[in-house]
Amino acid sequence: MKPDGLAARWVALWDQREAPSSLCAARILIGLVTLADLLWVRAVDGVSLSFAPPPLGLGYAALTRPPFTARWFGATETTALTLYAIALLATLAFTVGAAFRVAALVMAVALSQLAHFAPSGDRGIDSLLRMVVLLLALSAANARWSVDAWIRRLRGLSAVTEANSWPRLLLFGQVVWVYFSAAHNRADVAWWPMGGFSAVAVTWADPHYARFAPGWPPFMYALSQLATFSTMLFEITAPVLIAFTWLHRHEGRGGRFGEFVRRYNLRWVWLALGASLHLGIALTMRLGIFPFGMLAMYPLFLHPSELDAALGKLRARALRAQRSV
Amino acid sequence: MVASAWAKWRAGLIALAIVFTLIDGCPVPSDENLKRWPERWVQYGIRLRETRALLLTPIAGVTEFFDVRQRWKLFSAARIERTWMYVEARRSRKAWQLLYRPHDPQANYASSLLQYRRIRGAWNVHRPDPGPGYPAFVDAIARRIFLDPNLRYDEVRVRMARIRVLPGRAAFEETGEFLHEERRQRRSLLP
Repeated sequence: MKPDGLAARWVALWDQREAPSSLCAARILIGLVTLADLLWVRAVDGVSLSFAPPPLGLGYAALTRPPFTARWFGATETTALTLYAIALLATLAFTVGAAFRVAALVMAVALSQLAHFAPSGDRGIDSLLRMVVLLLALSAANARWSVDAWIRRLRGLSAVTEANSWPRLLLFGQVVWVYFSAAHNRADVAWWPMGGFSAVAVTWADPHYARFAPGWPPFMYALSQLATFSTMLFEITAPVLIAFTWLHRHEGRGGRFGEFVRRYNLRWVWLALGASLHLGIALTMRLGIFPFGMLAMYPLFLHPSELDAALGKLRARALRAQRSV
Repeated sequence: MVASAWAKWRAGLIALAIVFTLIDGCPVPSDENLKRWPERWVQYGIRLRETRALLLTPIAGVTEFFDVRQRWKLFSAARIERTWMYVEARRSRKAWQLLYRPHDPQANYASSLLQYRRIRGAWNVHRPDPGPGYPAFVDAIARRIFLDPNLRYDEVRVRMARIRVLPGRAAFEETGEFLHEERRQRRSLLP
């Protein structure tokens, strides 16, 4: 293919339009996960302990490497609590899609400032969610199921039925990259055949992470090895999801390989494997919001037409159930 | 269909963002990795890190501000040598009382709080250097214990029991060693 042709296809790829449903669903789920996390720390009376500067809490970096809020307003408990309150309100507004773009920006800034106060509590999932929130702010993720859409209707404006698809495609690539990067950053042999695929067993035996008291019956070890192997297979093959999705959505393309992918529904198999791995993590390990935060991004893997069709079926089923009652 | 000028600009910016993502996500060796590299390769590892940092200069301000990065180390280390936290307290130099230890039903003081992921991030220490979050955690939990009206202790100790995961089983044994012991006195934390 000529370079000009390639460039034109690249431009066309990012110039597509689609319904905004997948982005809207991701907005709501990501917002709910973040909101639950922020409410949970309040419920366990851990806001000061999590964010305030020492000796009250873990916000040591507010003293050693102060972010702009600590420099402007002081590295104090009041600043940390105010940042927490702003993050909570902005996350609520983000979730319900009220003043969405402003809310998303404020949410990302407030959460990153909290991360700068207490970096030891900020995990990879927090960094990922901040990045996703910033990208969603550039999209029409408030076009449905939101306060903004409701106000738009009240003002007599027509609903947004089509929006740029590039934010969803870019976020799709971002999540794929997270998995692939996780696989090639796993230097410990416990994740690989020479380490006996023992990594998940090690985590199940770690009292800091294990959901159930360590000391599983020996037959569970084989299950843990299968879980380690599946995790590595899933993550290292993450880039093929892009090919699977494309082949799945382009009937007749990709020759025999395309036929194979469609016949055995490899795209859905891959997604189901990912979802089951995250559910397995949630069931057996205490990793906070990590599995839920990752699953909240799964609507981005779906074309809006697929999500709308699934929601339509659910709605019809609910209506039938309601009538029968 | 002819693409608009904005569509071309946008496609270019997205290409640039993807390039920066790949550079940021490039698995360059850490200091710990370099110690295990052959001598003659170390300089290339260092040069690779420097080149990566140089290439990321244009976006360094944004990534630092939002504290975002593209190297994802999810459970990268699964060493069999691990730790088990003990939070203990005592009064008038009497015997230590175990207040909290994960998965110990007899020692579950403030377990929901201590298990909250952001707080656990400070005390879940598996490295030789526990990092700056650890002393801040000891300060904060000791202060909370001293202020608890139901407890009357004047000294708190936090330490990590070294444990070893048993091969072929999802279980561990204690080694009898302790790491990262930190103590706090009531009079040093409360006025």
